[in-house]
Amino acid sequence: MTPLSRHIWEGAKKSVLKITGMSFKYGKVEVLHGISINAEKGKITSLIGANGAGKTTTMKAIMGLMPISGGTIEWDGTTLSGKDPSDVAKCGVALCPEGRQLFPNMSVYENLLMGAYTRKDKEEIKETIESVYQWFPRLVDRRNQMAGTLSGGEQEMLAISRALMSKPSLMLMDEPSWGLAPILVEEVGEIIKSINAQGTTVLLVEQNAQMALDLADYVYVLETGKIVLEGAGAEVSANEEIQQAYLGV
Amino acid sequence: MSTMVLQQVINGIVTGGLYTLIAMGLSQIFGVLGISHFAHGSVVIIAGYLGYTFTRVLGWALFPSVILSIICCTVVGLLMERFAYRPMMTKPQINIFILALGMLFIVDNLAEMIWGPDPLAIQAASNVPIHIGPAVLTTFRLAVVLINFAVLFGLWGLMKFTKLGRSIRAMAQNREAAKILGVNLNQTSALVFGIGSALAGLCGIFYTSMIQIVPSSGGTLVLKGFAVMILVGLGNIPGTIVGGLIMGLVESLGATFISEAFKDSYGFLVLILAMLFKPDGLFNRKTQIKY
Repeated sequence: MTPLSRHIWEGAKKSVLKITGMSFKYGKVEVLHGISINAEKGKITSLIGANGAGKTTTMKAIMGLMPISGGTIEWDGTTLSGKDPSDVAKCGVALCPEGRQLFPNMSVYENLLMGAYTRKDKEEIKETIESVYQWFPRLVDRRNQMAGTLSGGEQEMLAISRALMSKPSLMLMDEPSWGLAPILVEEVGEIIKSINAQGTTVLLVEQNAQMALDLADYVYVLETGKIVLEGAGAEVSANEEIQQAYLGV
Repeated sequence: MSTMVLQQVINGIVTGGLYTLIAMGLSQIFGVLGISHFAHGSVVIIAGYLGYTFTRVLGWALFPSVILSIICCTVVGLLMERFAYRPMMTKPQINIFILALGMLFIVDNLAEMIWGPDPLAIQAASNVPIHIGPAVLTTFRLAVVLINFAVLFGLWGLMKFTKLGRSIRAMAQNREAAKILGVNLNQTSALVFGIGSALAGLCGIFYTSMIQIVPSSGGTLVLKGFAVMILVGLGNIPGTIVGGLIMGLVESLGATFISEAFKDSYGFLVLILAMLFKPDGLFNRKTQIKY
């Protein structure tokens, strides 16, 4: 694949999530080969790529779930690489993980409380729960129901809500469209837009390239552990090879 | 005849509470960490032997001796978690299994070296008989039952309503998600071991006070605890209370009406039956802590 004109993105200067030359090894096998990603504050940045390209690994590495073997991760001037997930969470980063990862035998309400684990302000946590309920009215009726008994769509809403409970300034979203009916995929897209509209920076990982390209201000294409292409959403969408490889045009 | 039944039911309830105490720690530890903590029996006898040493050998007052024994055995439980199990967590399950059994035997032998093979007991604080119809219960035994219930009720509240309890359950249900949300897994593991070991310590003190302790008591008790755990499923506090009572009742009734010689086997009969009817019980991690 020929790279697009690798113009210097004007946002790079004010970028707040700055991943530089990040490598990651599973045992002895390197699966991320020095990738660099910048996500601009208040924007949606998408990372697309096929299965096994290293998208989820990238997200987990940012969150501190997997120690990287090279490079640095910086968020808002703070170095995240080498930190524990609990410390990364305290820096305002939240991960809405692939496959939702809810606590199946805890109620909707308890799942939300767990989302606010790093916060200490009890009253404000209650307020956040109320505002989350306003965003996702369907969760209100289900508040005392076990998360494992929710429908797929409701579970995704809960996973997103739980991540929002920490009031993150950077939201990492890993495959939010996973296993959802097309109509719900659209709804999730709208939700991501509104989260972003409230000022949260979003890094979105998707196999559903159409959704990722539609939402994103800036897009990175990851192939077998390397960034092979990057550019503004519209620019990448217009690329013929991207259309063939990811959009099935 | 009916007097004897009533008496044995009362005895069964009292000893059943002890099985509940030990099973509770086991099921929390297994449910959250997947560790088959056989050395939990060692924690029980360490508390019992220390309680004996403090009260009978050193002649200290009962209450501070009990508290100190429980603190000491809790520290032992925490050390086992930190230095024996934690380094093994990434290794195959069988390693932990063998390690746990090994620690049980080591403590069993050490206890025999230090305290000898003969049964020892702590003199109970007050042994005023209370008559319930034709049957008899001592004040001490009544206190044991009441303390057990209070402790278990407290634990239930802790697990259900506090942030700490929620984080323990969260870790049992999805470790990685708990980690993402900021739960410190090592700290939580230590807490689970701490709580479980303190309950085991209480069990050891009660056991040594009401019955008698020998070095092999740890193994016998921990197996009964596991039997209760399998019988009722993981981390189910009300269920564990019921399971402990069933175990206690089966034993005391069996000992009276079948044969005293097989007292310890009746519980295992329950275990075998439980395995037959719940074949996916023991090492099935799908069972999760829920309240």
